[in-house]
Amino acid sequence: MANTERLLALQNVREAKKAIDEARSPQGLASEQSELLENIYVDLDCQEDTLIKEAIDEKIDGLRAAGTRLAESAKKISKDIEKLKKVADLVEKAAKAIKIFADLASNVGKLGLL
Amino acid sequence: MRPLRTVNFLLILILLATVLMLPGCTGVLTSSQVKEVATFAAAAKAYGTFPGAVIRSHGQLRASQKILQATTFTSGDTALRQVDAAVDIRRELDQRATAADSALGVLNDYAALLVALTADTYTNDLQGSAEALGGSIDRGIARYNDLRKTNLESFGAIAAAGVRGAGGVYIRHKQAEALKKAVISADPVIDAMINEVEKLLALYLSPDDLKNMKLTITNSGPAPEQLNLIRNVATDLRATYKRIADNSGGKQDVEAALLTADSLTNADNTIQLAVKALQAAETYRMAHRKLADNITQRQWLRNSIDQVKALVVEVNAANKTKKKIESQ
Repeated sequence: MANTERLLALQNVREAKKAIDEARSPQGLASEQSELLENIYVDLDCQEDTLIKEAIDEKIDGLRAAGTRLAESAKKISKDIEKLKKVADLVEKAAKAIKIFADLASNVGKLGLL
Repeated sequence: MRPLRTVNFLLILILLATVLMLPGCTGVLTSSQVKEVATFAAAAKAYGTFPGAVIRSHGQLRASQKILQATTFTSGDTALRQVDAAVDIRRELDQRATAADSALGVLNDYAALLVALTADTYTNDLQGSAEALGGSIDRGIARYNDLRKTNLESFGAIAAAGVRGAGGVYIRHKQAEALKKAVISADPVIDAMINEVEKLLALYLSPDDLKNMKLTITNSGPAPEQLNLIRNVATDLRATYKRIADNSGGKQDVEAALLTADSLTNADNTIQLAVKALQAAETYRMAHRKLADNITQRQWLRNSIDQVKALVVEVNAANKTKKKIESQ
């Protein structure tokens, strides 16, 4: 539903509710008349609920659609984080390799080969 | 041992060489970038719950109004229909609030990923292995000197510093590159997301509420749908309570008056929350835009970004109002 159409529909429902409420006011209404007016009021109130829920649902759908796009961006960031971890692991491995080399050099020295 | 000045000079050379060898000119991740991203992420985390809180509170208000209205009915069947409708609308709007929370949860995820991306863990892990390497080399040289009666200078410290420094600079450079890519590519999506948040919050407000707010959605394109939902409930609450009082013959129950007063207070707080959440949404958009703009500059974030500071202030203010509503 277009924005202006929904606003108009909501205004009409609310005006009708007000009119029904005023019609309930006079004392001495027959119980059937009161019940009829009260039922119409509840129907109109439910109609107002429906219009409100539709409006909220449309906006939440928009949020979800934008959220899906952001979730895709987040996925890419997660991949970059994984890559960073791999880089850190590689540097650590390189450091360990140098350590092994240093140990080896020390052992060679101990054996008097240098 | 080498004089300290020589060690420092060599270290600087290694780091300089690493920086010069890095492709592109993104530079390395700075502490001010890390701090700013963390501040932004903390404010972003709190923001995601505001729209849901507005929907939930509106559901509670409509349910209270229906219950109050039911007490004015003469037919038990119709009163029961209205009480059932009160239960339904509260549950249904609660579900929608949860859906909004869930949709906005991705903002939290995004913020948390930015923090993970700028974390120290990658370089801290490196510190341990570099120190172990330095110690190992020093021990090896000492053993060699001892056995061979030589006096070779230890280079453990410089090697450790080199690995730590070059590796750290390289990782920090990779982090800066990834952060730049992440924030720049997410910016239009954040913009679209904030548009949707603003459209949702505008439903609860009137054109008068939005008149003095400089919102991007009101400046470009058609005006957002404004149904004035909270004030409509407040109007109904007042009318219903008046009917109860008129029909009570001076013997009305205090509960109706209390429920009306509490609900009207809640309606005021919910309007305030919607307004503050809208302002904060706009600041969120600007703060992220500024983050994206500044991240591309070589010398950025010498001082804190004003928009990020404003976002923190606005989110804190909205959080106070949200807590007020939740405590009722």
